[in-house]
Amino acid sequence: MGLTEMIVSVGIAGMVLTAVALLSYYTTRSMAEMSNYSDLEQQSRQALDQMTYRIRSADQLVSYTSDQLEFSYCGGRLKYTYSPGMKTLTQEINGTTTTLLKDCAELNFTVFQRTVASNSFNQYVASGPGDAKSVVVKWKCAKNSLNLANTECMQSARIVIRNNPDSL
Amino acid sequence: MKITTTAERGSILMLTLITAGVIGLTLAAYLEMVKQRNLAVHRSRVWNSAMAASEAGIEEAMSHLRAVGTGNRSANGWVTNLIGGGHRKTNDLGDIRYDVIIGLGNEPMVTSTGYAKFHLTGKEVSRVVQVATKGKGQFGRGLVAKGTIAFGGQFESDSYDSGDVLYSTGGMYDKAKRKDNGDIGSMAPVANAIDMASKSKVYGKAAVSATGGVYTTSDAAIGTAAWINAGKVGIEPGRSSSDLNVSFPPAPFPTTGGFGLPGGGLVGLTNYARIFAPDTYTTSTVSMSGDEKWLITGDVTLIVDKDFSQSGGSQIYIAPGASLKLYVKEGSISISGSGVANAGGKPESFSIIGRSHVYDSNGTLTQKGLEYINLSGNGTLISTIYAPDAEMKMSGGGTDIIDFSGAAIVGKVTGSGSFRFHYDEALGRKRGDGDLTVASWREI
Repeated sequence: MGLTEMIVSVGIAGMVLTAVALLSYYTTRSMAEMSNYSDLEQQSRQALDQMTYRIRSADQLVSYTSDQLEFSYCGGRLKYTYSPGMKTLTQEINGTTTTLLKDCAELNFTVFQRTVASNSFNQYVASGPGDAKSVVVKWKCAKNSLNLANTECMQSARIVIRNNPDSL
Repeated sequence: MKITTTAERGSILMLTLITAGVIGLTLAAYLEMVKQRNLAVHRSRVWNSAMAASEAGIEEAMSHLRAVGTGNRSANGWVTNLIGGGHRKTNDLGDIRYDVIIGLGNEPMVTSTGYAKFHLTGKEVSRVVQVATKGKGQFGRGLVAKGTIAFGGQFESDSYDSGDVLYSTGGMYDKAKRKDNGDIGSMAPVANAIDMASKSKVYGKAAVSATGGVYTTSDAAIGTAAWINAGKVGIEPGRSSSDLNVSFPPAPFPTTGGFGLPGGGLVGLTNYARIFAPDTYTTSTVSMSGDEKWLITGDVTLIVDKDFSQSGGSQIYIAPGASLKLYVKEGSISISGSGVANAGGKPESFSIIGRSHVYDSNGTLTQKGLEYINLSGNGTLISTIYAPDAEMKMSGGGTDIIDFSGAAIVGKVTGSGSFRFHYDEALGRKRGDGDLTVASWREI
């Protein structure tokens, strides 16, 4: 093997190795993103399914802030609390706490009353827990794996409290 | 010429196979992940679709209960439920279906199972919702107005329960047993939708629409009996709300004709100008004065084309067990003093029904309905009032106190002087023609 052949061979080998390295990098990154998306979406779906299931059946909203809801629920209490520090959303039923969301970067509760505003599909914002009829929840979860991919998953839902009595 | 050896060919083959294997595994992992993700998404969608199907079943059952009223429920495709009793209906809507059962009783439990097809596995996902029902009376609240409610003077609103001896005496209001559910509500979209002045008191709650407001001045108060009796004024926290949302459909008027007004006669020691046997009567107008007396002896419907007025000592006496439905198409109703003696003491025994205004498609008034209901003097009126476009004017004066027991749904309320409004809570429980509402909702 002459020098020219050697140089060409090394060049070709370098290009092939670089291509393989890039392929591996992007494949790993893509897999990490897919995995993150999958995890975030799964936990978001499960969290939302849990919340809709419970809140629909709740008796009445007792108190609320933008990051906490508390309902009277089947003779006990149902509470959802978002912790910005821990980046978690927890569900507490009669003292038993379950973490519904991890890696939750943002979450916000807004409470609406039953009356629909004119020429709109939106309801008026509730003036207090007594006239609360629906809850809108929005969150954004973000996850970073292997310092390769930062993935976000956003969710928004309006949940109607079926049992809330009339205003009077 | 370069000659490739067998060993070199084997290495190339191995490298190719390994590379292909890695790529194949990666692709397989991708595809599996996508498949699982797809499954999870579809399962969630199907799970939520099952809830929509289940609630469609509840809607179907509630519509059916409303349609048949207290009649036979074996209609509109509903059949007897062989296991457990009640009635049952299934409905297949393609990808979703529901199976709903109406239980036994006047206020039945409704159980609906919704199914949604999971095409990826060929199986169905089901969810079950159960709702309890309760009778829904037309008068679920004490005093409700389409427009504003303005009180001055000594207005008071409280409640009693003619069906409970703890909260009534002989089925009638007793101040010693009163309750604090004399709720009032206004749908007027203005800041002073409910305007309470002077020493007016509402022993109950006040509700307005989302764009309305409650205004109290001076010594006026809205709250529980304990709160008001403690000398508090203003609105007790939690006793007002701004999400009232009610409709005021026109009252159905009898379409068939009736007899003219009947003659009178002596009953006991009283000479009645008119004695009404159970039937329907029509007249162009009613104007009672002096000591004119009418007697209602059974279930009577009286239709007045325009204006109904009473003055002086005139009186309509509704005998115990009898009832009077007074329909007035337009003009005004004026009742002073104890103009109507409802001897049975039940508000539903004397119903005042006013026709609504009629508008064309451009919103132009084409036919006037009842415009005013004037209650004045010193006396007691036990009645229900449904007149969605009429202004109810209540004017007691000085020592004249008007005691109204029952409930009212009107266009507007103006109160002055001394007026006591007592809501009969039994009216709220009284089921109309099959009207049921959902009392509770549970997924099981």
